Parts: sequence; structure tokens; C-alpha cells
Amino acid sequence: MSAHRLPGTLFGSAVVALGVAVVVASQQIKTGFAYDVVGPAMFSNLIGIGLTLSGIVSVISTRRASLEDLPDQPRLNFWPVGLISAALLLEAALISRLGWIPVVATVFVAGSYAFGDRRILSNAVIGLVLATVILLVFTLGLGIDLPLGPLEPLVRGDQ
Amino acid sequence: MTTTRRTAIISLAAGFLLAAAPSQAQTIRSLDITVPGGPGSGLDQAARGIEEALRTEGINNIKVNNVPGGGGMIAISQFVTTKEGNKNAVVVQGAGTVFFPLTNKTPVTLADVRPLARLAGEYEVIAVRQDSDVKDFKDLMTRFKANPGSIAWGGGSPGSTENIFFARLAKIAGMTPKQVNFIPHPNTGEVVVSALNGQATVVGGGLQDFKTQIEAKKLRLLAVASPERLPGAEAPTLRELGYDVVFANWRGVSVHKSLDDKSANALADVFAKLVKSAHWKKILSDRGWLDLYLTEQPYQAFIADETRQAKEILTELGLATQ
Amino acid sequence: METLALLAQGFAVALTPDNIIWSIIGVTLGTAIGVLPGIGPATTVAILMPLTVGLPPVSAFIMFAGIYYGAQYGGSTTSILLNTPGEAGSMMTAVDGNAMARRGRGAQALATAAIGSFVAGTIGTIGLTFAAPLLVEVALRLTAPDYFALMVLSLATVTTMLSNPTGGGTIAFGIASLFFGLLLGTVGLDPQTGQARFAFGVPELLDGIDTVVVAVGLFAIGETLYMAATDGGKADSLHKLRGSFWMSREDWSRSWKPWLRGAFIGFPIGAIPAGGSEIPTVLSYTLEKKLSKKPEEFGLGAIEGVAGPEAANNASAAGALSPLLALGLPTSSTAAVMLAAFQQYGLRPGPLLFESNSSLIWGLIASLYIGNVFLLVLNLPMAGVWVRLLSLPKPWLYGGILVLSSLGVYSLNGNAVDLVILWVIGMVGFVMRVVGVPIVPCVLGLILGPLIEQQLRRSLAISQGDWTVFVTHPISAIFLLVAVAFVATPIISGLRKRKHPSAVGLTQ
Repeated sequence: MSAHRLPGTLFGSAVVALGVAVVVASQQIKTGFAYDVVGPAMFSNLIGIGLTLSGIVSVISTRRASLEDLPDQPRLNFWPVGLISAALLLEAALISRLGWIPVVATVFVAGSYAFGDRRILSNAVIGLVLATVILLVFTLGLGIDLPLGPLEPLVRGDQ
Repeated sequence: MTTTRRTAIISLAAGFLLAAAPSQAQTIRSLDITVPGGPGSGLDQAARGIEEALRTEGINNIKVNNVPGGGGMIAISQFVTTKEGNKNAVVVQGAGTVFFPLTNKTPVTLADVRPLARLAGEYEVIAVRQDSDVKDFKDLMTRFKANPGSIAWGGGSPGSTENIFFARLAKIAGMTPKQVNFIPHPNTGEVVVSALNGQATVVGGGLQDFKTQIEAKKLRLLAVASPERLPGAEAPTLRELGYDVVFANWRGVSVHKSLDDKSANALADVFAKLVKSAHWKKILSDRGWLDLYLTEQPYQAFIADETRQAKEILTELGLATQ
Repeated sequence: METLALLAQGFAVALTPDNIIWSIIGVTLGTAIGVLPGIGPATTVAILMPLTVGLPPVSAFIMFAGIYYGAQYGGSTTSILLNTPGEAGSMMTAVDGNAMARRGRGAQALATAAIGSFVAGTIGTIGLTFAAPLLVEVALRLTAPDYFALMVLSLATVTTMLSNPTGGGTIAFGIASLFFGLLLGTVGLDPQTGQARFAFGVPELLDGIDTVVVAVGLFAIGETLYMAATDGGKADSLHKLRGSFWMSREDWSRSWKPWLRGAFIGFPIGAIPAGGSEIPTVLSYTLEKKLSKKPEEFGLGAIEGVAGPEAANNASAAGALSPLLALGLPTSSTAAVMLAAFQQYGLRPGPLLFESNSSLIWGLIASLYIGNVFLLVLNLPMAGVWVRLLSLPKPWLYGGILVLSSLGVYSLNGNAVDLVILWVIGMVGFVMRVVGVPIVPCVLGLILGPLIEQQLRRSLAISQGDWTVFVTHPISAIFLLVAVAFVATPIISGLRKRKHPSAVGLTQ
């Protein structure tokens, strides 16, 4: 199988797997409510079936398509994707503990690094400034609570 | 002055000082309110009302945190983990907060906090479109008993206030909760729409939800679920009609279970003063809320009773989790 | 006409120097906050509401009106320039708008969005002035089967978007995307019975997956990841600006009809309870694609694809005010926030408020016209400035997009689970771009799926299991017929093509 067909085939297979998983999971959903003819499980079953079918057709049509019809595959660099992903996941994990400023600055630095800007230190400064401005405007100005993390005691004042 | 007298006076004075000191340490000067709902939600409005009234009572340092989602359980969970030992923290709750864990498996429930006081709320009312065929409440129940599926009862979320309320009515009428054709809606706006376009035969909710339409003569009330008639509403109470149901959408506050009684009582005092204050009374009358004040013991008993009754009904409806 | 007299009074109220200033402040703040990705009009109004405490009610509402419309304008800027729709109503704008920006025509996209929003906002406000109560009466005749059919119709229009205009992919990909969106829509508590579906015991998932998180994830994060994977490592800037900032004559001639059509689609649907702003934009986009002489341009930067949906979006915002002001019924989340604003002043909008407090209401309506003008004046010149944003070096641009996306998503609920979902969906968006799967069907599925399901089950509950109710209700029957036509036409023409392979250019 040429590299051209690989993405489509993988995608289709993943969709089929997802569809089957959905149908299996749907069997757990409780049904049998009065007046609710359709019930909460029918739609998710239909969706599972739809996913499975469209996944199968995806795979088939990818195999059958002539090579010109398939999109060109640019070369993919996966390390920037990994870097940004790690930054986002780190953000999710640490945002309530460390607060908005450090994690968001990290995301900014990771993002710019992933796009080729290696000046980590100056980007870190930019990131911190950006995050701080946002925090000031939103939390103190507009009342949307962005987590302060260890800064909390400073801002809270007396309890 | 002899030595003994001086000693006596000094000891007396010292005694007074010692007695005064602890009560000074208990004065609450700030409040941290957790709200299990987003800005604009019912619980949030209650919290803002509390905030407003307390500011006029001299407690200026009030922080309101909105923690929406998960039926209120995300807020309760966060409260339990982060407010341990916090003598100034309360969390708001309402009827929905009690009912939600009964229909969904959640990591925490209201039993993980200490209910302190019930404050205010609204009684449920039943309304129909102005030109509806349903003449009055008795007519409604007659039709329901004759052909249960033909009455579409509109209300809020499944398993929540109106669902349980209507089920109770059905039971008193000798029917089963499952026979109630409950049409859930995600918010009160849609409930009103369902009433106005006629797809819901009757709707339930707070009086405030329907007040605009009632005044514009688009909806009319059939009955109210309060102990006595409501001011400004010309509808009989369910009790008058022979249905012993009182059902309110109430709001109250709880504190962390780790607080000792002295700290909890200090907070309870704040709310005791709140409900007596003139500003709070004004807020209640502005928003059409009723004073439903209960102190700790009766409040906890009330919650236990509500939970028990709701659980029964939800089990009959097939909505209860273990 | 009495209405005109009342409107004139309203203008007298709105045109005082003080109130003009409040209007300007409102539109500026509304645009500024609305520009941020993930922060839609409802959140914007909610955030800025506390700033109006202490103002006399008329001024406060004039400021609100400015914020309300301003937030609608702001949303289109990030959609076009950064492919980051602030809310679902801006999603269709992002499709062709961003494509235009990539070709250096960002300023034109912004211009057509701004002018279209002005035209549609004005038409919508006129509609609000004269037709609101009537429209609401009509809207209240629609019941669950009609809503079901309308939403099915909206979903059926997705057949026009199933193929990826940038080449590759098959219809099956688009359908898979659609079903994936439908799946995302089922996550959470089932609205009809409260049963948890696909929540895996995570309480944050019980409320379902927010549309904003999916939109930002698929569009912004997916885009960022894809660009990082394909272009990463090269620190150049993108979107070189070409030519002038002004719309050419061709741009104007291609835009003005979509503006009008968009406005006339958006206003009534916005006035329908639960109409929302996504449905009008989708319908407008589809209509423009069907009517266009060059449908293959859609997805690659067809200006009609920006003009129509933007107009529809703004008109529906005006439309949503109709049930709010006429009956006190909030039919969108933004309207609900406005209602809360009214209540803070102890006012209850509705027919009585028109009578008792008519200067406030008409002042509000007049200020909508004025705010609209200010918004055009503010945004049109700014288009040139905003577009320079794109000449930021990519590392900073995308770093900034990541930061703003985090802000938009985290500020929804304040919980980190949303950030995890954002990443997951972002990865899905990345994969979709690599494989060539269209993204719009996914978001449509997410938004429309739950609505369709709920209206279906509600209709059947009320009719006690009678399925014929969908054909006996005339409006429902009509919508369903049109929907069938949408789905059937490409299939039929596809079959015909196979029978007569020599037939020339029977594109749909």
C-alpha cells in the first residue's frame, strides 16, 4: 500500500473501531422509559452504526481511488506536534496548582519554539508579560477567575 | 483600696476581658461564597443577593466563586477539597443540588458538607395557556386520570424539581409516577415557550418564571404549591384543593464539615442577622422570593426528608441510581 | 405611524451626548472582548455587565446594546484572521473568511463582514422595530415537530459541505466527520431522561462537551498543530498581504445580495425560540453556494461565503431580541444574559414594559441603530490594522493563538478538563487535516445532533408515539421535503453522471 493511501486507510479503520466501541458502550445505556418511544440508546446506536459504515466506505474508497485523486502528503514533522501537545496537557494538569501565569507562559514558549523560534528566554518574558496582562485584565478587571496558584495569598490579603 | 479588693477588681476585670475576647475573635468580617452555577443561574442570583445584603450589614470583604457544572457536584467537590478549616467559607445550594446525586453517580453529594441554614426560595406553581381547555386544577386531574398520556407536563430537567413535583401529584391522585408524561426542558425560557405554543398542556415552575406572561394574560395559574396563597397570585393552594403537597425551589448555605461548632455557629449568626435585615427583605420582595429561613437542625431534617421522598419517587420513575 | 413616533422619541433619548458616549464605550468593549477566541457574545455581555452597575438604566442598556452588537462583530475578526471562531455563529465565516485571508485578501474579508454586519444589523433592527410582536406570534405557532424538521433541514445542507474543497477525501470522510460530531453531541446527560452517556464517570463530562471547545479545538488548535507539523521550524511570517485593503467592485457586486439574503434568513430564524445563530449561518452559506455561479470557489475563499453568513449572524442577533423585548422570552444564551441585566434593574421585559417604560425600550432600540453605525465606523478602518496581525512571525502568532485559545476555553467553566478536551479535539482536527477530512460537518453534527434528538423525542412524547405528526404539521412536512431534496439531489445527479459519463459539468 503506497504511502498515499495510508492516512485514509488508517483513518477509516480508526473510525470503524470507534463505531463498534460506541455500539458496545450503548448497550449499557438504560432504556425503557414511559412515553419515550425512542429512548436514550437509539441515537447512540445509530451513531455507532453510522461511524462503522462510513469508516468501512472510507477505507474502501481510499483503496479504490486512483493515485491522482489522493491528496499530496507533505512531509510531517511530529516533534512540534508533540511539543505543543505536551505543553497543553501540562497546562491542564498544573493550571490550578501553579496558576495561570506560569503555565500559559510555558504554552507560549512551547508554541513559538515549535515554530522555529529558539529564543526561549525572550519568549518566556513575552509569555509572562502576555499572561500577566491577561490575568490583570480578566481577573481583576472583569472578574473572570483565572487561577492564581501560589500568588493567591498575595491577592487575597487577609482571609 | 485594700489589696484584696484591688485583686478582686483586677480579677473581675480580667474575667470580663477574657469573656469578651473569644466572642470578638468569632466576628465574621469576610465571606467566601462558592456557587455551584454559572453567572446568572438561580444559585448565582441567590449568592449575589446574599452578597448585596451582607455588604449593607458591614461585611465588605465578600468573594463569590462560580463553579458551574456537574449538577453542582463539581463545586461541592472543590469546596470539600479546598475549604478545609476555612471559617469564612460557605457553599450555596438548592433543591436541584439535593436531587442531582439521586439520579447520577457522583463522587460527592450534599452529605459531604454541613447544611447550615435555608434562606429563601419560591414555591412551585402550575400554569396553563390563557385559552387552554383545561379549566382548573380539578379539570386537569380529571383529564389526567382519564387519559394520562394526553397531558403533557412541561418542566425543567429530568429527575429534578418539576419531575418530582408532578410525580407527587400523580401519586396523590391515585396514579403512578410513570404515568406522568413529563416533557423536560433545559431552561425556563423553553418551558414558557412550550406553554405558549400549546405543546405542553400544563407547565410547572416558580412564580417569577411565569409572572411576565401571567400579567400579560398569556398564561394563567391553576394552583400553587405553598402553605398559604401567594401574594399577587390568584390561585388556590394545592392543600385547598385536597392535594397535600408543598414544594419549593429553595436555596440555602452549607459549611465545611471540618468546622467546629463555635465557628459554624458564628457563620450561622451571620445568616440569622441577614434574614432579619431590611436590605435582605427588600431583595426578597424585589425578586419575588419568599423567606424560607430555617436554622441548622430543622434545615438538615428538611433535607433528609426531601431526599427520602425524592428517592422514592425517582425509584418509581426508574431514574434513581444506587 | 405610532411606531415611528415612538422610535423618534427613542432617538431623542439615545442621541444625548452622555448616551452616545456610553454607546461608543459599549461597542468598543464588546468588540474588544468579542474578538477573543472562545469568548462569544453571551460571555462578553456577562463579563461586562458589572461595569454598568450604578449607571441609570437607560444608559446601562444603551451600553449593553453596544456590547451585544459589538461582540457579534468581534467574533468575525478572529474567525477570519486566525481561523478561531469565538462561537458557533462565526464558524461558517471562518471557512471561507480564513481561506481569503490566506490568499492575502484578509482585509476584504473583514470589510465584507463588517459592512454585511452593518447592513444586516440595520435590517434586523428595523425588523425588530416594526415586526417584533407579529413575528413572535408567528414563531409561537411552531411546535416540536417543526423544530425537528428545521434542524433536519439544516443538517441536510451539510451534503453540500461533505467534500473537501482543498482536494482529496471522499464523501465517506465527510460523513464520518458528521457522525463523529454527532457522537460528541451525545456525551453527557441525555436531556430527555437524564441518563449519562459516554461520561465515563467524569462529572465535568456530564454537562456535555461545549461547542466552543470543539470549535476552538478543531479550528484553532488543529490548525496550529498542522502548521507546526508541516511548516514548523521555519520562522517566517504568513499571509502576505496583497494589493489594497479595499473591496474591489467585483467584491461589492458579489457581496450585496448575500448581505440581503443573509439578513432575511437570519432575522426570522433568530426570532424563533431555539433558532440560535448557527442554523441561519449554515443555511445562508448553503444558499449562497447553491446560487453562486462559481460554487467550486466555496471553501477556497469565496466572498459570498463570508458576506452571507456574517449578515445572517448579525440579523439573527437582532432577531433574538424580538422574543426578549416583545414577550420577555430569552431564546439564546445572550438573550438570557440580557434578561438577567434587565432583572438587575428590577425590570421585566415584555408587553407591559413596552407600555410602562417605553422610553427605555425605544431608547434601547434606537441605540441599536446608532451602535451599528459606530461599529461600522470602528471596524472598517480597523480591518487594515487587524490584518497586520497576520504579518506577525509565525512563532508569536501561533503562540498567541494557543494562549488565547486557552483563555477562551478555560474561562467557560474554569475547569481543566475542558483544556484536556481541547487538546484531544485539537489532535482530531490535526488528523483530519492530514487525512483530508472536512471539519465543518463535525461541528454541525455536534450542534444539531442533540437538538434533533431532543425535538424528535419531545414530539413523540407529546404525540404519544404517533410518528405521523411530522407530516401532519404542515411546516414540518415542508421542511422535511426540502431536506430530502437536499440529500437526494446529489445522489440522483451522481447516478445520472454514471449513466451518462459524457454529460458535461453537472455539478450541484
